Amino acid sequence: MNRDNLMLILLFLCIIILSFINNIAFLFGYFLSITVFFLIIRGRVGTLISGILRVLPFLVVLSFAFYISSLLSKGHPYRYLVILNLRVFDMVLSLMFFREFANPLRALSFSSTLTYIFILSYSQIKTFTELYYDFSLVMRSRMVLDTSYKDRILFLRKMAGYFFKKAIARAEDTAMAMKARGFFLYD
Amino acid sequence: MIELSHIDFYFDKRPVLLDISFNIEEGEKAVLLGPNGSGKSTLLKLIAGLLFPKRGKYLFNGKEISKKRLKDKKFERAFRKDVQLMFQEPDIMLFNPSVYEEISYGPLRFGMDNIKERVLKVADFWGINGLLKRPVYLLSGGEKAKVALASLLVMEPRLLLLDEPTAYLDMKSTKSLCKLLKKERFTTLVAMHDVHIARYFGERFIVLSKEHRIVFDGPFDRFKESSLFEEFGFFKEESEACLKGGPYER
Amino acid sequence: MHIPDGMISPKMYIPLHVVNAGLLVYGFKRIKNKIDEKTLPYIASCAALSFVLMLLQVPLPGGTSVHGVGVAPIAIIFGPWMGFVAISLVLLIQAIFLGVGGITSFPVNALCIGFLGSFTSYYIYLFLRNLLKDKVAMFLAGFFAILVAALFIAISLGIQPMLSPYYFPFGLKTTIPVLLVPHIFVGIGEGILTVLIYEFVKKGIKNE
Repeated sequence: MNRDNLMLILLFLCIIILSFINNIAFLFGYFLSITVFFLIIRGRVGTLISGILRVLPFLVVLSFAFYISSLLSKGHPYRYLVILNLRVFDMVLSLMFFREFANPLRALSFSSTLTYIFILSYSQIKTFTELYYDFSLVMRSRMVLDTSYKDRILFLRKMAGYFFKKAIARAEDTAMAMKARGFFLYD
Repeated sequence: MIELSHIDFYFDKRPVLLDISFNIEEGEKAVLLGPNGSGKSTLLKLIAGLLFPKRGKYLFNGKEISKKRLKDKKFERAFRKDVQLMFQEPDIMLFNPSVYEEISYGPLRFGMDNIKERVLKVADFWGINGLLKRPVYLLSGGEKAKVALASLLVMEPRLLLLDEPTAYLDMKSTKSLCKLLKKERFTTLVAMHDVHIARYFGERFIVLSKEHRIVFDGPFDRFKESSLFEEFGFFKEESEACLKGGPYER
Repeated sequence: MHIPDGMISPKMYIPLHVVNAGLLVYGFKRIKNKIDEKTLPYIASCAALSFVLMLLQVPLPGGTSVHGVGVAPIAIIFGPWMGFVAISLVLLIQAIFLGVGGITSFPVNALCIGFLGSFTSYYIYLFLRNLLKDKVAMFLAGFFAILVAALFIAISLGIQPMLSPYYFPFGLKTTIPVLLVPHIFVGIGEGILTVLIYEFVKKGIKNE
């Protein structure tokens, strides 16, 4: 077990503990300490804001809806809302804290099979994402802006089909490459 | 070292290779030319024992390579250690967490000694010692190609099969590769399109047609004089100019 | 459709993590028995494929567009276990590498989208392909995969107020309509995507 595995286990423990505690002071203290860590010790304002922004729209809509429905039913929503929001922020920040320190690929590698699954998938996801952005540029550079529905469907078919074919070809080739490099010799 | 006789290979019902026969002797530097889709990559995979012909025989050091033969794990182990293939897309050959682990994967797998020294030596040759700790999936295309080449060369193979190795390499690395191929004693078969680069190390040119058959097999000078040369889109003048100077001067 | 962290109570996510992990191991073994040496490369390829299908914008008649999910085409062509394992892998990578979705919500997302989505689309297609035109069966398989996934996500969220307080606050009466109505459009998108990929595959086979 390496350092990153331990960090992942620690992250799971933190998240489990956070999900059992409904004490506002604790949740707020946790929030404050990670925020201070990001802002003062690491100077990562951008990381902090981007992490929070990712959940903020969902939380705002959810909180607002809950506030209105509580008012209508004459309930007291404040404690509920504070705990709910703090807990979400705490969990998101814990995950960011983990990503700041650990290499997620190594963290998930609890066995060699898992390591290979994650590396193969992640590197292929990266390749495919780059290809996808190239495709969007192609769409912009080769087509007029207001394309017809039929054109857009045809382009989508071309793109989805391309990735489909590429995925199969790549799986077959990767299997061969692994074989050529002796991957299956001792298993 | 390699003997191919009357090999046919079909992909479903589509022919990919037809009646392919040639021998390659130990230490020979051969170049495989041919238009897109002529079956170069398939031929290399076949020689690497990853695909098997529908008809015909393929012998490696006098032993037929077949599915059945490769079921013998001891034989397969020796064969895979001796024959190293670089795929067209270097990306797919790389599946380890870091560059160091990637290069040392083969030597570890095949129980070689002095692994660290070997890895450092080959990394030094390709100028990638600075990358050894980096995850492979974060490298650029050219860097991945160098890592893939390093992972093959660290095995000290007897037969090196390269599928368009220069596609991702810059000129400097291409030159290093050419020099290496010329200098080292291992047998090579390299599929590529640039005949002027191939000329530098290639002693023998095997040319596939788009009908998937061998249409030429011989040294460069004879290929240059044949009518095929211009038919395949190469320019004689350019070739003359190359002979007189340039980065790949003999 | 991804649920973020902090919405699912531990009474639910802890047992679901166990169930999900068990199913993933079983699914992996099923795939390995079938394709052996090609298991790892195919899982990786399907994961990357579903990741990129989630990026694609599927245009709907009328001018808007929705994101595809890709669960139906993968499940129908590569089998439901492959769909489940690949989608789960993508959800895990999204949660841990990219911070999208969450760790506590991972089993809910994986079971609803990956497991139920894959098996629904696969069996709906098997059942309907003899009754209807292939294209229609494909479309419906994609459409219902999304609706079933959305329905179960709505149920998972909607029962939170009954399990413990301070998690997702609304009950079933709210979550089911709020999630199902927009997912009708996502379902149409998924249906279109499934048909397009199916057409492509069929054409590809004819050309070979």
